Amino acid sequence: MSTDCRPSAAPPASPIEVSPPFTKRRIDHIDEPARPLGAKRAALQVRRLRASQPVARAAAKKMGIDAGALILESKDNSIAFSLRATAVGLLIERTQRQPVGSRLVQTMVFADPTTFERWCASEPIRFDNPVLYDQLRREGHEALCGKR
Amino acid sequence: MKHCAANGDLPSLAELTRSPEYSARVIDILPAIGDADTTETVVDLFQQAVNHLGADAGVFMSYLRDDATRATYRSLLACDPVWASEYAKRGWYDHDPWLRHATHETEPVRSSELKVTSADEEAFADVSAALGFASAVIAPAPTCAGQSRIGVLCLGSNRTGFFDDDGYPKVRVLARALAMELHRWLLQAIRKELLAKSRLTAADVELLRHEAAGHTSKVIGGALNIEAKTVDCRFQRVSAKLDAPDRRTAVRIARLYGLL
Repeated sequence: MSTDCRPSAAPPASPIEVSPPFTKRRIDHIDEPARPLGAKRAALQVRRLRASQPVARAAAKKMGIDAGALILESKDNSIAFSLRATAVGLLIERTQRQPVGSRLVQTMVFADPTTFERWCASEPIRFDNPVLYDQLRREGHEALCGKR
Repeated sequence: MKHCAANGDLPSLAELTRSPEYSARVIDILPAIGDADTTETVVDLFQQAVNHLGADAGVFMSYLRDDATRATYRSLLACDPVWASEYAKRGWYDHDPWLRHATHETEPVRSSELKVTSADEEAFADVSAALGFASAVIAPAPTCAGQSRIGVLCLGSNRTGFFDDDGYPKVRVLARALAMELHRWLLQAIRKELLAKSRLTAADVELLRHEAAGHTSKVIGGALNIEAKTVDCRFQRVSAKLDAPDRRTAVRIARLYGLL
């Protein structure tokens, strides 16, 4: 019996260049809607994300400096503000997040205290979190006046 | 000109676009947006572009669907900041007709041509009109990621019907270019942010590349001279770094953020 046609006779293929018959894994296409998770896996993922929160809370500072920006955040981590005085004005990045679901990040620059005050007056945390709101106003005005 | 008559001495869009410098000033700004190294530079350039276009307000919004449970909406604002507060307070990202348009269409549209489909969208349009978007141009920034990653630019004017005159074709072209440049910058920024947050290594990215190529653990193990079970363990760690429920989702996230 001839053994000439055995696969081992062929030169070994590079592992990166695997031919199509070996590509068995399924791939999620990014131009299609996200694949819904099964009930069990979805519940596990939610549990994982929730479980990671207390650790994040304990580690998070209410107020800290990160890469030159002042970070103010609520105790439950649902809202955070990053403030940085720049040459063009006060840069604020406002992040609103849910434990599982949507995250909204808004980035804006305030050139003068009047516009900043106008924004503060409309800010939803004014009544929801007055302590954080006061910090935000105070630090924002100080940054705009060049005290920080 | 009808807008001049209605708005005192302010020039209409058609008058503004007749100036030979109108397009040149905006085009000069566009390359600087893509190359900007700081957020404040981009917001400042965006504000300048909005002013040069004759608009009173501008918002660039990007939507990214990480997986079945998470979505991120990011915006760069060159408008009345009260609009941003209203957007956050009312959770408008779920009822945003501009984002809806960008999800299904690639062509820019004017607010006068955009149909609102619900009471929430109507409320959004009314409040936006009062805060600098009485007349607006909505320019989608489509991507290869289809509905998973979308960008949309909205230019607004306090003057009703401002974008409805003969100057619109020029604004449409410039708005589209501005939307694409802003989206390009934003993608670079979120990629850097993800890398910093997840602390993915070059080896992790290589592993994800194998997965994206459809390779099994056995094949990857053969390529990297490690056991298939070790490959599975490494994938678990990579998925955890990306907050992904599984390796397929980890690859999806990596591709959406332009890591692969």
